[in-house]
Amino acid sequence: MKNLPLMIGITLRIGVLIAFCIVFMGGIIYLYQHGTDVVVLHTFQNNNQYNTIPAILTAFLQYSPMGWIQCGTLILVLTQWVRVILTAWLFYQNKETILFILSLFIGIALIYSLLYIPL
Amino acid sequence: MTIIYFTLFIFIISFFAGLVGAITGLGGGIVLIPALVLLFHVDIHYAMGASLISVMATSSGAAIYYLKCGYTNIRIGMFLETGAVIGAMAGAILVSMLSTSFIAILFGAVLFISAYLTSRRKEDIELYKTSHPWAIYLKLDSQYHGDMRENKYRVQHAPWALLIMTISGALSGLLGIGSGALKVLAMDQVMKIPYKVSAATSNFIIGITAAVSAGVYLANGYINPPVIFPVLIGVMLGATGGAFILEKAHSRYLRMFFSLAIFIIGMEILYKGLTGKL
Repeated sequence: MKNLPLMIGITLRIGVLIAFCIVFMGGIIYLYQHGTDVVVLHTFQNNNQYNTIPAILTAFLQYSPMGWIQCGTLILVLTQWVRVILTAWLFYQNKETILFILSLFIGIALIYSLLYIPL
Repeated sequence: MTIIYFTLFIFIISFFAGLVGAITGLGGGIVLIPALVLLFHVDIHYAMGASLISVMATSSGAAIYYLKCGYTNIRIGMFLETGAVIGAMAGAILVSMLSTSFIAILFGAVLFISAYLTSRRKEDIELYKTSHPWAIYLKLDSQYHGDMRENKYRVQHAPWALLIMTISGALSGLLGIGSGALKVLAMDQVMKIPYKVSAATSNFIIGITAAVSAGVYLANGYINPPVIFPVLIGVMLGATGGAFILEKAHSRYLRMFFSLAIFIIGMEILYKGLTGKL
């Protein structure tokens, strides 16, 4: 895999475009369904049910517009994770052990963050 | 206000945030969060969540350009990112325990610092003959192509840079911003790396830092779809437009104007935070 940095760049672009499209589509449907509702975003209420990965995937598969928007954000996070893993792979191929381990650590931290449950 | 107007206005503001962010190199979060909170009275947590997501998007979008130019130093990036990730995780977890006033005051302080850092003239880098031992061990030194030749650079003070990056990550997690200004500072001033390389490398890792905080923000309910939608679309389109303008505009004057603007915004948000009006 000679041009891994470029591959990383292309993966990022694709991931961002996919996320953009999914968020856009979800958003348009959301506007269509709720456009005339009144905004209630002035105080923080932790009643957003789209904040775990299983919930988001379920909502996505049910064509829920909110689910689609959240799914777009998940894809963005996933794109970063792919970036880290590809970079780790690059270091592994070049036998750069410490950088490889550091990159793996970052990858694991990302996974931990996604699986995080509030205390 | 109805949702459709709200979405439209947020989209326009986000577009400008993305535009300005792309031109000045200072991330959209610095402009976006105060705009959302002060102008539209969106709760600061939702604003932070939306800003974080947009940081990931713009970082990824620009990355391919910098990678192609060959300015990005992936080694330095991942080395420093280790610290940033630790900071970001800690910062993101801490947010839920902090009051809104405290966040606002911290935000104001960061705005002032960013205004100062942006308005400074970039000095030419002195050429070093030696590198920090860590830089040698991890092969962080490199060169970049500019002015028709290969310019070599040697990395200094690696541990200090790592510390600053950890703080940068913590700020990113605490405030939902990219904290690119501090990242560039760590590379540019501490490691003595050429500015172009610093900017490109910072852009490369900023998205990763944001992603680490994003998971925690998601679990805490800060990522709210009605806010995410217009912000993400607006910032991404604005950043694309900004990249076009960047070729043509005199970015130095824009940066000065921008520094002044965020200084004023900093005053406003600091005031609101201190008087508990947030």
